[in-house]
Amino acid sequence: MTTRVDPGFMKKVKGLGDQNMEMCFNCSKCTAICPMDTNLLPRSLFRYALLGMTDKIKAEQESIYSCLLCKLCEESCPRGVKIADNVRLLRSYLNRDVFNI
Amino acid sequence: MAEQKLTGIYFCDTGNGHAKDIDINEIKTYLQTLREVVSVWEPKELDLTNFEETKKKLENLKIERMIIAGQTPGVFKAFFARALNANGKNGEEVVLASFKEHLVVNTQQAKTILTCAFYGVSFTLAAMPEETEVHPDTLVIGGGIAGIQASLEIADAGQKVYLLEKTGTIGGHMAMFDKTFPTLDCAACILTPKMVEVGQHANIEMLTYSEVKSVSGGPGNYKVKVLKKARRVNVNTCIGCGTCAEKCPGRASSEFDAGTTMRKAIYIPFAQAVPNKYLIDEDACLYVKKGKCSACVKVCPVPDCINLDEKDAEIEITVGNIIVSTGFKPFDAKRAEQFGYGRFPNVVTSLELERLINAGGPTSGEITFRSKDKFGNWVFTADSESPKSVAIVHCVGSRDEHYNKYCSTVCCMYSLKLAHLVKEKLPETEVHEYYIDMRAFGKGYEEFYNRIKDEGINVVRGSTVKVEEEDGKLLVKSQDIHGLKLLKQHVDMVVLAVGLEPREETKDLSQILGVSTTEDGWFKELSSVTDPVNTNVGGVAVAGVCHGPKDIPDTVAQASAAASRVIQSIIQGKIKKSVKDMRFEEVAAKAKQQS
Ligand SMILES: Cc1cc2nc3c(=O)[nH]c(=O)nc-3n(C[C@H](O)[C@H](O)[C@H](O)COP(=O)(O)OP(=O)(O)OC[C@H]3O[C@@H](n4cnc5c(N)ncnc54)[C@H](O)[C@@H]3O)c2cc1C
Ligand code: SF4
Ligand code: SF4
Ligand code: SF4
Ligand code: SF4
Ligand code: SF4
Repeated sequence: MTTRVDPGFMKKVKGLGDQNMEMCFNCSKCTAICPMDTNLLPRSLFRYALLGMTDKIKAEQESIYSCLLCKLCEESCPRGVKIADNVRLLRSYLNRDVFNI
Repeated sequence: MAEQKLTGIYFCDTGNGHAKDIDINEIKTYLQTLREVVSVWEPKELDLTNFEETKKKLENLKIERMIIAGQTPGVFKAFFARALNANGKNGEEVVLASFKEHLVVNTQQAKTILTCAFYGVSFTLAAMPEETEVHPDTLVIGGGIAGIQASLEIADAGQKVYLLEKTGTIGGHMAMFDKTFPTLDCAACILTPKMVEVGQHANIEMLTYSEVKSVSGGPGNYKVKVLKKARRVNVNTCIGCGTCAEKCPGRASSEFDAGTTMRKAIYIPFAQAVPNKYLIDEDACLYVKKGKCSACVKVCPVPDCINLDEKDAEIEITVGNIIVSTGFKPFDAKRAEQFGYGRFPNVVTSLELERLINAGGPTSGEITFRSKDKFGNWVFTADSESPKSVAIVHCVGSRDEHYNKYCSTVCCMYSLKLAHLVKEKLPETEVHEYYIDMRAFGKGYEEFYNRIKDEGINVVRGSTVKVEEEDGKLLVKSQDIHGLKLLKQHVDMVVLAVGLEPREETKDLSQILGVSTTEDGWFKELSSVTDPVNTNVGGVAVAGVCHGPKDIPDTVAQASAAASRVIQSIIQGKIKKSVKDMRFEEVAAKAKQQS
């Protein structure tokens, strides 16, 4: 399977809310502390978004909605990534572009 | 200026734009006071996409010369050269005033650079501080590998050096290591001969157990007041027999062994210490604290060697140059509570593990669990058990907004080294290593990394977030980024790869010397690109980690560079005054004079 990337993705979602995904340096502390115990929340989702892997984002809807917005990960993040806001942004994207709400 | 040419000035704002402290309006007002300047433009006032219009503007003002100022003025050089040529003028008359090249960050500096460009004088020549005579003696502050290297080079060149060290011995952190990366050379085999050489060198006067109290005078002639703390043991007569320590009831945690063991109040920092003499720690000595004991005096075989009432003394020395090489302190692992240091006895720091691995350390080279001694102190002893699994956690206290944002540069490599050494000592023990990025940047380092991976060490990409205790084991939580697996690894021992931090005294010393520091608290070099050893203060150079995290090879290289600056000034008999003391008016006047 080839993976399609959309370099314009981050621009497209810009108006949907505050985000700072590009601050993330991919350390995975957030994933390791997340109570949901998934491999995707939240680090991998940010990678998909930054690369514009929209197919992946659509396929991982469940993870995106399973986030409790508890911010446990934010406390551990060494880069001050606003993780909950970033997850919210991905939700807004799904709401607008996938579910058309 | 031989001839006076009508000049136009253009401010470009490419690159990062202008620094926030550069006031373009103030600079414009100033430039317009220079007689030949006929116009000063900002980008919004000159449309560079329209060649004809710009050429016309230059023509109408009879401009014969253009100065382009800003971060990357070179970008516009060709454009203005073409415009001048098209007007029948000389296209060569385009002068660049680069803010980036000269590290301009404020209005005064921008004005200075522009003034030099206007007078056609090179900034480096105009801003050359005046020279003054230099006293041939040198003070080196800090006796780690940086200070040792610098002192030996200057002393070998035939010049007198005072090597001032805060503790009772020279050697610094390197003396604590067993092996050094990437060659796995025995640290002591490299360092000890150098330490001995310092101790015996006719041109080096060691001032151990001493501190700089104040500095007066200026470049080339500094008067330094040195506080010589009371050792209470006579360095000239002590034979280092250690009889005193055997009987001494005072105890304190050993600095040299990174707190892994206890030492006596009268002690020698370590067996190869230079000077190889004992000293008394007044905070642990019962006589000093309570006036109660004098056991050491009674057993010492050398008459009058121990003087429990010795007082601190002060001396003054005169030197022409000063090299600062005060090193670092390791990040305090207790601050990163999530890793449990101080709560879980077998969460250890990298420095503690260095001491465990060392044959001269508290366990004679055995890697064992921490246990309590009969006084209730947590120590390591050889008869304790060894771990069957060890996890090494990278970036503790570094690259993290909660602590230090910078990368400590050496901990990736020393972690690989420690992993190797654990495996060498305990071949059956599992070793896991968790990293964010593997910074194996130096000569032979990537090769070393590959070698370690081949030794059966589990090197995982993915940062550790937390260490907990579960079923009597330590639980390390991470994610394996490459394998996309959540990891909950049970291990017996966790090693924290603590980062490097500026020492607390750096602030005081920077005030005493007038040397600037960076936001992080490291001493600041004059230019990170072209002058990594001199500072804003004439005759004061930096070397080693006190200038920023670096490994031993880089420390030694910088120390040699600092020494060569000192030797250069002594040979010439002259030294430059401080750049920080030069004012804009002074540089401008010199530029005018030189034109
Ligand atoms: C656990 C660990 C392992 C490491 N392993 C390696 C390795 O294998 N290979 C490698 O290349 N690098 C290694 N490093 C890095 C290495 O420690 C440094 O590069 C080196 O020690 C720097 O030497 P220095 O002289 O600048 O500082 P230091 O070794 O810190 O020496 C500074 C000296 O100055 C003295 N001092 C401090 N303040 C004052 C003052 N105000 N007045 C007077 N004296 C003062 C101190 O007492 C000390 O003696 C390791 C670092 C750590 C933490
Ligand atoms: S903890 Fe922060 S920096 Fe690390 S992967 Fe998660 S979001 Fe990125
Ligand atoms: S905010 Fe979401 S991603 Fe972060 S720890 Fe809570 S559930 Fe996990
Ligand atoms: S007993 Fe005296 S001579 Fe021997 S080490 Fe102690 S102070 Fe030095
Ligand atoms: S006087 Fe102090 S140093 Fe000497 S034996 Fe007593 S406690 Fe130890
Ligand atoms: S050298 Fe490696 S372990 Fe140390 S701070 Fe940098 S990335 Fe982290």
